[in-house]
Amino acid sequence: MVYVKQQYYDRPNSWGYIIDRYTFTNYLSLSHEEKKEIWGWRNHPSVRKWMFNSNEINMSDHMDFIDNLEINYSKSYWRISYNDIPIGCCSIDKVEYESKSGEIGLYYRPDKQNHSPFGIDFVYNIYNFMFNILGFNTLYGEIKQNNTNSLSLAEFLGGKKISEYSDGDDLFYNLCISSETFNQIKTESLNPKNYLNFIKQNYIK
Amino acid sequence: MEKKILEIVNNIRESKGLSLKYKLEATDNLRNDLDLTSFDLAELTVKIEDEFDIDIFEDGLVSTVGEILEKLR
Repeated sequence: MVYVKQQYYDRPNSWGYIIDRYTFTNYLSLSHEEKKEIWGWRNHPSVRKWMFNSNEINMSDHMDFIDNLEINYSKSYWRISYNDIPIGCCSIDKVEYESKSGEIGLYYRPDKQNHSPFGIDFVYNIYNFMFNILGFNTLYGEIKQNNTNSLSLAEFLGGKKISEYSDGDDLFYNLCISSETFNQIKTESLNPKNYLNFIKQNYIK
Repeated sequence: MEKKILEIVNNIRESKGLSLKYKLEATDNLRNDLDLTSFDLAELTVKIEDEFDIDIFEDGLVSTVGEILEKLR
């Protein structure tokens, strides 16, 4: 796979990756305005309702959180652009360097949710980034039971439910996917038709 | 045809706990006006295909009720 690790020379200690039309820019490389824009996405009701912490966060906490990423090696956050237009974010948390595993998070920018048919290309490219650029072996994820968008895409791309738990209000599934499983997927099979067949067999009653 | 689309949309909305629509407008945006997510659009596509044997997303993204009706005519 061809990719470019990009250094933003106008900003010290900044970096990002360009993979085909997708660019993954580390939060630490974003300007104040760009971080503020992400704060708006994260607080949008259509985004935060699926999060473990679905409360609104204030801007000062958001900025402090990002600043703290500089010294916190257990997590990293990335803004995703497609053809240079920011379309969403992804993150890896609870990183375990020995096993090369971590917990993945992702969301679309609220007004760009129709970026790709059913989000297949978006999620595929995030997994590809995590496995084949950042070098993870295993990704874990927590998805609310009624978040059928994320659940169906994760399973379509090879993710497996391994357990479930409740926080008292909501039921969550723990999912897991390995790089080996992911890399066995043939990209030509990732078309909307196959996704529709998949949800017809597994999700639609 | 419009009646069947309304029935399918309402089935999906009902399963999400949303109120039923009494009428659809051609200008209704599937996401913004009908509150359908990507998964709902996939479900809508499957159900329309089952009913009319036409894949409404085959030639690209559809965003309004009018565009669906156009594909079915």
